[in-house]
Parts: sequence; C-alpha cells; structure tokens
Amino acid sequence: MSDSFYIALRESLQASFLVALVLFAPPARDDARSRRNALLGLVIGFLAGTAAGAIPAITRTLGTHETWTFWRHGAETVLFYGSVALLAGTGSRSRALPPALFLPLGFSLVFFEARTLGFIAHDLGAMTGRIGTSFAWGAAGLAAGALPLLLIRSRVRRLPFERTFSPASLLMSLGALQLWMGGLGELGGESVMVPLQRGLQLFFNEFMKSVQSALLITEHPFLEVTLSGLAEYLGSDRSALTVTVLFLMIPPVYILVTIFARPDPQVTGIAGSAHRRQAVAGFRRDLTLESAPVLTAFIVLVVMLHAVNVSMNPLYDPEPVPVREADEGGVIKIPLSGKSGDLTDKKLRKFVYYEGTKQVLFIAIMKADNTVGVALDQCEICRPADWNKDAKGYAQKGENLICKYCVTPIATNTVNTPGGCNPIPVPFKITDGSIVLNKNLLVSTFDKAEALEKGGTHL
Amino acid sequence: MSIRPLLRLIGSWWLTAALLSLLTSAYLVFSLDGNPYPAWLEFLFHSGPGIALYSALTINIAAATIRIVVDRMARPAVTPETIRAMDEYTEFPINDDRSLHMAAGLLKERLSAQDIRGQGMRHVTGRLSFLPGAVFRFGLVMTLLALQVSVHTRRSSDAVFHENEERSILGSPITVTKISANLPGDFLQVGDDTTFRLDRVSVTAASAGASHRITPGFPTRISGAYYRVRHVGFAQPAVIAVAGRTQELTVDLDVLPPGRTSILSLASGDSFFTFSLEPDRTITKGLVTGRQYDLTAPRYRVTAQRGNVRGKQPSAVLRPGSRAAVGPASIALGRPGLSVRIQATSDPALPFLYAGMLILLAGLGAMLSRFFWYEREFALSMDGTTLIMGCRDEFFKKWGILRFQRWTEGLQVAEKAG
Repeated sequence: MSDSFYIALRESLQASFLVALVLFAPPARDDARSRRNALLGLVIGFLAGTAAGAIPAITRTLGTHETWTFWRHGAETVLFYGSVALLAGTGSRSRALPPALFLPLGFSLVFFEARTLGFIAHDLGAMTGRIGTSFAWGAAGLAAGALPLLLIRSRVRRLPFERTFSPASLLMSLGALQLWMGGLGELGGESVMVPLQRGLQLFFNEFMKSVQSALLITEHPFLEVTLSGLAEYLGSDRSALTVTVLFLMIPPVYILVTIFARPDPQVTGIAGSAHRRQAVAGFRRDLTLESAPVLTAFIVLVVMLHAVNVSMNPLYDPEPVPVREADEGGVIKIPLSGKSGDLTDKKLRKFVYYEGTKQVLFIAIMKADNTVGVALDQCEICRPADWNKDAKGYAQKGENLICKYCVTPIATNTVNTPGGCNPIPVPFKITDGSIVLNKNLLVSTFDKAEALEKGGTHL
Repeated sequence: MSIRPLLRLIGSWWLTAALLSLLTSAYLVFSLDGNPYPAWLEFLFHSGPGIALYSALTINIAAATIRIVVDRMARPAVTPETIRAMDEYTEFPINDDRSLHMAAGLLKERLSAQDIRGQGMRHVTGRLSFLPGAVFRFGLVMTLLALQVSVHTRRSSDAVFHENEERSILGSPITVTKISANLPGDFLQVGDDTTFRLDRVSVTAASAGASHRITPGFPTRISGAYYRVRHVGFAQPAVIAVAGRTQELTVDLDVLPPGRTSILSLASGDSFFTFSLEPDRTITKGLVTGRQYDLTAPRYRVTAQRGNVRGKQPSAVLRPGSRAAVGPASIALGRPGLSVRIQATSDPALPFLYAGMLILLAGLGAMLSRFFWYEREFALSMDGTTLIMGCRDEFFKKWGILRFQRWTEGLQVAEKAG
C-alpha cells in the first residue's frame, strides 16, 4: 500500500480529533452559526491547503517549506495564546468565542496540514511516476482516518464538553495539540520547540551584546569586564530554555489559576447540611472537570519539552531534511546559514536526497576548526539488520559523533576522513556560503556504499 | 475628550500587548532572511515606522504608569453602586436601633473615623503597593528614551597608548601615566580549551590636571567623555637593522592570548616579521601537552617573511634584552611594557541609560514584594435602611472573598444571637 495512504491516514486521524473538539464542544455544538463557520473554514482550509501543496506552480510561487513552517508555527501560537486573550482582565470567567472567529479557526486547523499532505502526495507520486495513484491513496487514507469520527459522532456529541471546556481552555488545548501534532515528521524539523529555542538563544545572545554595547561594557576575549559573567549567562541557551518553558506553560498555568481562583460557593443560606455538602461537592467536581483538559495539555507540553531537550542532550539525532537539486541542475546547495538553521552552532545536520526510489541520507557538520564535514549517514563497517534500522547512522554527543550501532565515538574533526568507523565522505565544495554537492557524485558514493554492503564487507 | 479617558486609551495594557505583538512580528518577519537581530535594530532605531512603534510603546508605558498612579491615588466616592461592583458584597438590613448599634460595634474593629469618604466609609490597606510597578515602568521608560537618544548621538573613537604618552581622543588631550595588569608568571596553556583571562588591568590617566583610573569595566567619565580600556598588548621596544638601515621603534604586539600572532611590517620592501609568544616550557603527560609561559618576561618567536617566498622561513626566539639575526635582519629587544587601546565615547544619554537600568532593576526587585503587598479595600454605605458592605482585593481575590464571607457570617450570627 502506498506511503501516501499511511501518511494521510495518520494525519486524518489527528485532524479528526481536533475537528471533533471544535464541532462537538460548545459553543459550536449549540450554535448553528458557529458550527457552519467552522465547517466552512475546514472545507476552505482543506481545499486551499491541498492546492497550495499539490500544484507545483502554486507551491513554488508561495515560498519555501521553511516559510510555510514559519507561518504554521505563527498560527499555532496565535491559537495557543488566544486563550490568554480570552481570559485577560475578566477575573475567572472566559470570554465567549464570537461565531465569526470559527471560520479562521477551522481554516487554520487543516490548511497547513493539507498543504504538506498535498506536497508529500505529489512528491511521492512524482518519484514513482504515478501521481494520480498517489493522490488516490492519499484520499483513501483521509477517508479511512475520518471514518472513526463519523461512526462515533453521536456518542462524542453526548460527552460533557460543556463542563470540561471553557472557550479559553478549548483554544489552549487546540493550540497545544497543534504544537504537538502539527506538521509532518517526513519533512523534518517540524516541532516549534527547536526553532523557538534556537531563535530565542540567538535573540538573547545578540540582545545581551547590545545591552553591553549600550552601557559601554562590551565583552573582551580575555580581559575581565564587569558583569560579563551575568551577561554570558543571560545570553546563553539556559535563558532560551527558560523562556521556551514559560512560552509553553503560561497559557495552561494561567487557565488553571483562574479555575482554582474561584471561591467556594457560599452555602450559609442553604437549608440542610446535605444540600450544602452537595453544593460544595458539585463545585469541586466542576473544578476537576474543567482542569482535566488543561492538565492533559500540560502533560502534552511537558512531553514535547522533554523530547526536544532529549534530542539536544545527550544524544542528538535530528530528523533528516529533504533537499532537492538546485535550479541550475546537477548540484545540491545547502546554505551554511539559512532559514533551516545555522551550521555554525556545530550541531549535526541530516539531509535526505531522493533519486527515484533511492533514499540517500547524508550528514553535514561544522567542526571545531570551523571547517565543514559532509558524509553519508552510514559507515563502511556497521550495517544493522533490517529489524534494527533505527540503529543506522550517526548521532551527536558533545563534540563527537556516535555510531548508533556500535556506539563508537568519532571525533568530528575526522569527518571527511575515510576508513574505520568514520562516516563515508562525500565530495563537496563551499561556494558563496553554501555547501555544494555534485548530485551524481553523491548518488555514486551512495551506490558504492550499497555495493560494499552487498559484497559482504559490512559486519 | 477629557484627560482621563484619553489616558485610559493611551495607557491601556491592550495597547501595550498590541504594540509588543507588532514588535515581535517585525522580528519574526526579519527572521525569514536568516539574521534578524541587526535588521530589527535597524528597523527600530533608523526607520520611520520602527521609531513610531518604539515611541508609541514608550508613550503607552508612561501613560499606563500615570493612569495607575492617578487611579490609585484618587478613588471615586463610595456609593452603593461602587460597592456592588466590588469582588464581593453583602447587604445587612438595619431594622432597629439594636441592630444599628450591633453593626456599628462590629464595624468599629475594621473602620475608623478617618475612613469616612463622602456618603460611605472606605478602608484601604496597601494603598501605595503600586510603587514597585511604577518604579519599574519609570525605569523602563527612561531606558527606552535614553537608548533612542544614545543611538543617534553617540560618538566613539579610540587610540593606542603607551606609558607617559599624551594623545588626543574626541578632541580632548589625555596622558597615560601608568599601565598595570596582573600578568601571570606561569600561565599554563593546555590544548585549545584553556581560557586565558587577564585581570586587574588598570590605566592611570591625567587630564586637565586631574588623575583618573581607567579600566576595562565600567567607563570612567573625564571631561564629559567616557573612557575605558578596550584591549591590552605588549609595547616592545626594538632595534631592527635591515640592509644597513637601523630603525628604533616601539612595537605594539597583539600576541595575547598565547598562540596569537602579531605582524610587524617595515616601511620599506615587502618583508615583514611575525611575532608570537614562545613557551618557556612544554610539559607532556601522556596524551596531554601543556605550554607554560612567563608573561612578565615574554619570549617571542620572531619569523622573517617575504611576500612571495614559500617554504620554511628564518626565525629566532628572542627574550627582552637579547639580540638575534632573523633572516636578513638583526633584531634587538628592550624591556617590554604594556600598550592599551583606550576607547573614548561621547554620549549625553549614557548617565540616563545607567540610571534607567538601575531604576528598572530596583523596581523589578521590589516587585517581589507584591506577593504580600497588595491593595485591599473594604467599603460600606447606607442605602435607605440597608447597610451595604463590600470588599475588593487586588490579588488573591479568592482568599479575600472567603475572608469577607466568614466575617459577614459572623456578623449575621451575632445579630441573630442579639
């Protein structure tokens, strides 16, 4: 069965979960106008997104994948922080969501996913030469993914959403789930956490330099400068991590505070102790129900944070980013510093180039001496069995690469040197701030490595 | 439009949020081009829309501060309506003299004659609790204003000084009388990771008959300009003889930290010399190699280079006070001193920038007190024969409401008990 079926099935299941929350929670459940707007937004978002991703002419016109990812993260953030706007200055009760807002809400829930799905379906089809089939499988996957929701919709509708979700907690939960599930892992670098943390680190670093410059206490490589230790600390990745945690935690914590800040009901006027206890118990049950989705979102966000920081330390194994042939043909260009990241952070980058059915995985890293190393994400010796494919290639730990199969540390300075446990070097040159790879050389290096495997040289 | 609604509009937190969102959005849009920070600063300080946004934010924060101070210092009169708008209120019918005396007696413990306000009574604690926030915002506004002025008025220049040398920077003559630094006599450099730090760097300078101390830390104000040490190197007296021509000069060698190479170009020809520090000892333990330097009496490796000659170049190791032939030249070194690069900056806004930052940090620190220092208001008024009482807490409203409920319950119980 086609990959596009599985990808579409997974995305459709995720999307139907979000759609169920929007349509079956109040106010859309009880208000026909809100529901109609949400459905209209969903349909427009799906159609526009699919067209933007699947039609190459539109895809090329509307910017790179990184630009789209940027705007997707922006939309997720607006959704996530919309909850704070709904609560700000109201005391403890959330403002209502106006019906008109359901149109952009529905649109943003599916637009970006539909675009990436359309893009992937087209790409997979183009690789095999059967674009129509790929789209057909994608459509089947979407239908299969939406089926469970259609079948159990009447049961879902009866769930006590009105007691669990306030408009603010609904928006926050949708935002948190979008931050978690948004984007496609197949296209790499999809979590907002990594660009956010990297962007914040860059910002804080530059900001502290500006402050030091404004106060005439600029850093010096070896002279003791007043407050330089504090500035270094504030401009470090620790501050970036702190702000990332705050970014993720402010909406759920704020909602929780407003829920628990409600005073217990006044029961002195109620006759009968049983009724008084009943009133207090009802109030506490409401608190529990209202805090349930917030706590769930909280757990999702903690898991996300953990996943990203596990990837930063101790074993860093990034998702490969797909690369294509440059417009001039025959070469693949990877900017040393660009929208997808900056190699000067000396972190391992992985890329994948598709040539027909071949999937050429390669790595690039800036070494301690500021030279660049490019190699296949495989070595001449280790080749894990098919059941252990996850152990193929390299990850980064500190200043070393680690072979994921034999756990041998390899000094990054030796990348580009052939032999032993080192990754198989790929010829490249640096031109105009970009790594330039000859596409044919890359593929032939990959073919030779594969032949080596078939020849039985590997362990 | 009267001043108060205008103040509310300009100083609203919604406007602050909108302006900050715009500033963040601008940064995010610049980030699409890879290096957002310099572009963002350029936008903020040198473009019309950026300066307008920046000014709007400054005005908004200033107006918000004024609004809060005015609101907190001039409260409206107590009326039944204002009490009903508080966090919690209760109505207590006064049917006869007995219940009136009862209520008056119980209220005595919460109110005094000075709480009388118009037709009602109001007792407020934590009235000045807005001060930490106001101080913080005042510091922020001062910093923002000073920063904008500083960006457009700052002028900087620098020059290299040796001991007992007079130079003019930014039009002011200054004489360096002494340069001191804590140069280590046994600096051990292991691998590339050793961090070289030079502390206690200080320059004594004389200007207009007064003596000043200039350091790499906070700038020193001399005759309206701000001075600080930007860099330190060796000032090495040398006598160089090349092709029968002798030059006596003091060479500024930028060879710190050890491993760095400094170039000395001669006025004539295409030959030049490179200087780098030579270790006094090289210690090897297993795989680790360390190089030990005595920076109080530095040894240099001097290499003679010619523009287009490849291969090994002639070099020699020299200590101050020694002489050696290096390629075509003969070099004699004297006793070294230190040279400093001093930066002078003219910036009328710098004192305000520092003052703004200090006030801002002081306000930020004082804001910790807001966990327990916040405004609590208790008010009462008569509405016909009904006594209306209400309470409002700035923060932790739940506990304020519960406290008020417990108190009014006690009042009712006492009233029933007679």
